Parts: sequence; structure tokens; C-alpha cells
Amino acid sequence: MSQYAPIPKARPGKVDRVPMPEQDPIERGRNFLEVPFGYSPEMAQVEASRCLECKDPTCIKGCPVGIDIRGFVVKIREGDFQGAVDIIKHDNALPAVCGRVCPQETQCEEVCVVGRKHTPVAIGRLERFAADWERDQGVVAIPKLAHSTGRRVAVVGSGPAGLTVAGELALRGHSVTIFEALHKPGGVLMYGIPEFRLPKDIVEAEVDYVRKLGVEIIYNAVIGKMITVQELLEEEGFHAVFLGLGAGLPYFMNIPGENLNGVYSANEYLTRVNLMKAYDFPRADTPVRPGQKVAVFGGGNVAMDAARTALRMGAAEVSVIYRRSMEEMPARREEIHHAEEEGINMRLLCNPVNILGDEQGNVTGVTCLRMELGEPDASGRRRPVPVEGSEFVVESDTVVVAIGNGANPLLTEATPELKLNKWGNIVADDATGRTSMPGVYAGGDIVIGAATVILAMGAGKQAALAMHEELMAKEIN
Amino acid sequence: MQFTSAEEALNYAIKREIEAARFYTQLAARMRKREMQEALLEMAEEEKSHRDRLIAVRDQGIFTAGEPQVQDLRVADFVVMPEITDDLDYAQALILAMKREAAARELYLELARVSRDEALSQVFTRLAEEEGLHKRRFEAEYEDRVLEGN
Ligand SMILES: Cc1cc2nc3c(=O)[nH]c(=O)nc-3n(C[C@H](O)[C@H](O)[C@H](O)COP(=O)(O)OP(=O)(O)OC[C@H]3O[C@@H](n4cnc5c(N)ncnc54)[C@H](O)[C@@H]3O)c2cc1C
Ligand code: SF4
Repeated sequence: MSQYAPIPKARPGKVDRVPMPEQDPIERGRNFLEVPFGYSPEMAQVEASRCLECKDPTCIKGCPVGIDIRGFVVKIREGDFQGAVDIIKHDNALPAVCGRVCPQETQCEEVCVVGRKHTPVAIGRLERFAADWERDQGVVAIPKLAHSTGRRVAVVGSGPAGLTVAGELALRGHSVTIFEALHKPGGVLMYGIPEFRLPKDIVEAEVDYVRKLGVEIIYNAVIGKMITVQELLEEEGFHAVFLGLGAGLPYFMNIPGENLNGVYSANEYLTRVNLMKAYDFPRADTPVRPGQKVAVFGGGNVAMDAARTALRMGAAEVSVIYRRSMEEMPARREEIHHAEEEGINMRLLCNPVNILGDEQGNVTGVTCLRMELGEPDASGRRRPVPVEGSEFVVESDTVVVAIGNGANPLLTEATPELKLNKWGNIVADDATGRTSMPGVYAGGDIVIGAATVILAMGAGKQAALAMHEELMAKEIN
Repeated sequence: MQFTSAEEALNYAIKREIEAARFYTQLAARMRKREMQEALLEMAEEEKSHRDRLIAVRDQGIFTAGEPQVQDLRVADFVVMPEITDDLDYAQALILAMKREAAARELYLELARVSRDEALSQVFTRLAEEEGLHKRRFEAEYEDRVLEGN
């Protein structure tokens, strides 16, 4: 039912993109509350009115899970917000998350027709609006589940890949148990992405939805250590297993000084702050040292999150040290923009080569080299090369290495039947997630390497469809 | 080391490539992880193809450039050599490989510098360039993955 009166389509280019209200940069640098407040219904309708409602909507092709973007944007313009939510949820079970963290500028919004001449329709903000609106109503519809099939599925990992598989299979009548190594669900959504970018109650609500579909979640359950994949299949009575283990092993730079006190991986740093509420000091016992001068290595979302977290933990000066130029930075544009507004110092074309320490083994600084982008090589990439004699020191008492993550070998080492590539990622079929081990599927970061939430969910959905087919073809007793 | 002809220099370089292939093959046999055994055997195969290229150069007497000269990324200069255990990961294997190529390059540059025979010096310079290309190939793979977010 329509909640608001429809508004007419705007004349092309006549209405500017509606800005999203957000916390003042100085103010928010000292708290962990979410930065943008989201659109009001009126703002959302005006933004939606900018959509041309194209006959051949290019935006949909830019979405990794093919949401009917035009469809839901029109519903918002018409004031039918529940209609918008229903359309989104048809293809995306975590819209409140994706509306906040998807790199829209390189996906749907990059190919939006309005964007050819003006700023593209703010598709991500509208997705977020619809999802938040539904949650604010206090009633999230639980769809009708299929009859029980009698099949049992174990899902290892409760990140976006695992949650998606669990939800899809529960809807189809299978009995699903998630095994999660940590004491909280959500994977990176919970322990990686900080509160000010993705409030944890939103993640909780999404997990709750999956639970309401009948999925059981067992915490502190490290598969491979406590119990193996073989045992799940052969002794615990599961008919299939999905592995959504993520990319939890941080890469280091392998430069001198990385073992000094005060050097953290972004994983460790963010996990401690997020899961152990280090930010709630002194009410929570802070397990990371706050740091006054913090240097963060890297230019992706992980680096922006670590830098902005350090600021909120009370650092006086935070530098992001990145080897390439702004153009190559892999972080979402909005995060870079927010980080700059908050006063994070972007040291671009700058490569850390040595971490310096004092006699007690504490970090005192980082030796860096200036870089320039070299000639394009055979692959067409301009790789950074050091400028001769350009060494300088960035004074720091804390270093956070946020350059990337690889596959955690804990489960795979205990499962020799699984074929891995040389980086330790599980080899799985692109379309189905099938691995080399019968009855075992995998998807998300553990297969493709550290990527995005939506790609992990897309892989989960594909795997769920293939698993459903295999499960239904299986005789059970 | 004393060299009197280009052939001698190339024979030496060929021997080094054979030794490198043997090094990776033996290292592969020590690895605990199957995928690392495979990755190191691939590296051994690469060394064998370098060997074959040098044999062809020696037998045909022509040392043409493999690829246009490229800029030195200098990734190898700043990473720490990993301790060699039976539990190497692929990033460590790449560091090991780039460091070995860097050392070979340095050696040939030095030999080029001390050679009094102009022709011989040129052979060493070309050998150094070859090693530079091999080094870059490992550095680029390391950069694309381990330094992706940096
Ligand atoms: C700081 C940070 C910021 C990011 N920002 C963004 C962003 O803005 N936008 C975006 O799209 N993506 C972002 N990403 C990437 C995104 O979060 C990941 O691509 C995504 O979460 C991958 O989902 P997944 O389900 O494959 O794995 P994960 O989310 O990593 O979840 C894996 C889960 O499996 C559990 N697990 C692992 N091994 C075992 C085991 N043996 N037994 C039991 N449980 C196990 C882990 O504890 C974890 O909970 C970010 C990542 C990080 C680290
Ligand atoms: S491409 Fe842009 S203008 Fe066209 S339907 Fe999609 S969101 Fe609307």
C-alpha cells in the first residue's frame, strides 16, 4: 500500500542529486555513530524522480545480482516503499548492508544513463532508504517456507556468503546449521567494517531475519579444528556443506620492523575495536593502544576504515600511506571523501620501506620513499617505481598494515580433499560453487580472494541453487 | 671467476639456471602443502625455459633482447628474505624468487663491469637484463596480489 503520494518524474537534468545529510566532520571524528543519516521519505522521492525510467535500463547490468533497479526506484517515486523493498529483496537479502557498503560508483551508478551528462541517480542511497524504511516499520515480513525436505546442510562461516546460502536453503525447506568460529555472526560485516559505516544493529537485524527462517547458528565453532568437514558429512549427518570462510589472513608488507610493538594488521586492529568494543573505553577494557600518530598502509576500504577508526580512538594525527595515486585507490569514493573531510592525511605515491623502532622495541616512525607511476607495461598498467634518493620519515607510534587479506589455511589444511590454488584459495566452479570434494561447495572471499559483500552474496546464491538441486536428487534415509 | 669467451659466460649462466631449477624442485619436495609443491615446480619449469633460451643463444650466437627494457620496480630491494621452512606460502616463495633473480642480476652487472673484453661485457649486460625481466615478472605477481590494496 502506498504510504506517500506519488510525485512526478523530474525533467532530465533539472533536479540535482539530493545530498544525504550527515554528521559534521569534526564532530563525528570523535564518535562511532553512523556518518550519514539517510534520506527522509521526501528526499528519497525527489531523488527517485531524477530516474529517466529507461526502456533499456543499463543500471541493472551494472548490479552483480541484477536487482530490478528501475523497478524499485519507480516504486519509491510513487511512494510505494514496501513495493520497493519487495523488488529489492527478490534479488538481495541484505539491502540495508549493500545500500551502505557496495561500491556503487563502479557498479550500477557508473552505468546509469543520467550519469552521462549529470550526476547519476543515487541508487545506493535509495536502496538504503527502502531497507531502513522497512526496518523502521518494525515488521519485517517473513516469507512462507517450503515444506521440510529432510535434508540437513552445514554452512561454515556466517559472513555474507554463508548467510545468503543459509537463507536461500532454509526458504527451500532444508534444515540449515551455521558454524561460526567467532562469538558473533556476520563475518567482516560485524568485525571488519566499523560501526560508523555499518551499524552493528543493522547486521544483527539481517542475521535475525535468517534465524527467523529457521537457521541455527552455533558460535565458537572452528571447523577443521573442533570437527572436520569429513566428520560433518560422515558422522554428523549433514547431506551437504558450504564453505564461506572469507579471507581472514592479513597480508603484511614483509619489510623490516613489522614485528615491533605498535604494529597491527588492520584485521586485528578493527576486530579488537569492533568486537571487543575498544571504542567504549573506559567502560570496555581497551585492548588496542590508542596511538597519537598513526600510520596506515594501504588505499582500500580496509585502510580507510582503519584510519578513521584510529581517529575516533583519539589519535591526533592519522596518515594513510599509499603507493599509487588517488585515481588508483581501490576504496569507495565516499569513504575517501569522508576520510579527507575528517582530516586524515593522504600521503599518496608514497611507499613504506622500513618501520623504525626504539630500544624498547616500540614503533617510532616509518621510512618512506616517494614513488612515481612508471611507463605502462605489457598489461597496460602503470606500476609505481621509487624516486631515487627520496627517502623521508613519517613519525608514528602506531602502524596499521591494511594492504589486503589472503585465505586462512585453518580449515583447508585439515581437508586435503579440497583442491586449492597456489594462493591457498579453494578452487570452485564459477557457476555452482562446487569444489573437488563431493557434497562440498564454497563461495565468497575464500574462493575469489578479498572482494566485496555483493560478490560474496552472489556466489552464495548461485551455490544455494546448485546445492538445492543436488540435495533434492539425493536419496536420504 | 675468469671468463675468456662469450660461450664460457653463457655456459656459466646456463649452469646457474639448471641449478635454480634443481633448487625449486628440491624445495617443492619439502613442502607440506600440495599447492605449494605445484607452485614451486612451476617455478622450476620457468628456470628450465630460461636455460633453453640461453642454450639457443649460445648455439646460434645471437643474443637479441627478449622484451623492451622496462623500469625496475625495486620491490625485491625492500622485502625481507623469508626463513625457508616446509611451510612456505606463495607470497614468501615469490619473495625468494625475486631475491634470487635480483642477486643473479647484480652478479652479471658486476661481471659486465669488470670484464675488459667489450664483447664479453655486453654478454653479461644482456644476461643482467634477462635476470631483470625475470625479477620483474615475480615482482609484478607479488604486487598484483599482496600489494593490491597498497
Ligand atoms: C575492513 C573491511 C572493510 C570492507 N569494506 C567493504 C565495503 O565497503 N564494501 C564491500 O562490498 N566490501 C567490503 N569489504 C569486503 C567484504 O567485507 C568481504 O568481501 C565479504 O565480507 C566477504 O564475505 P564472506 O562471506 O566470503 O567472508 P567473511 O565476511 O570474511 O566471513 C567469513 C566468516 O567465516 C568464519 N570462519 C572462517 N573460518 C572458519 C572456520 N574454520 N570455522 C568456522 N567459521 C569460520 C569467519 O569467522 C567469518 O565470520 C571490507 C572488508 C574489510 C575487512
Ligand atoms: S540507468 Fe539510471 S536513469 Fe536509467 S533506469 Fe537505471 S537508475 Fe534510472
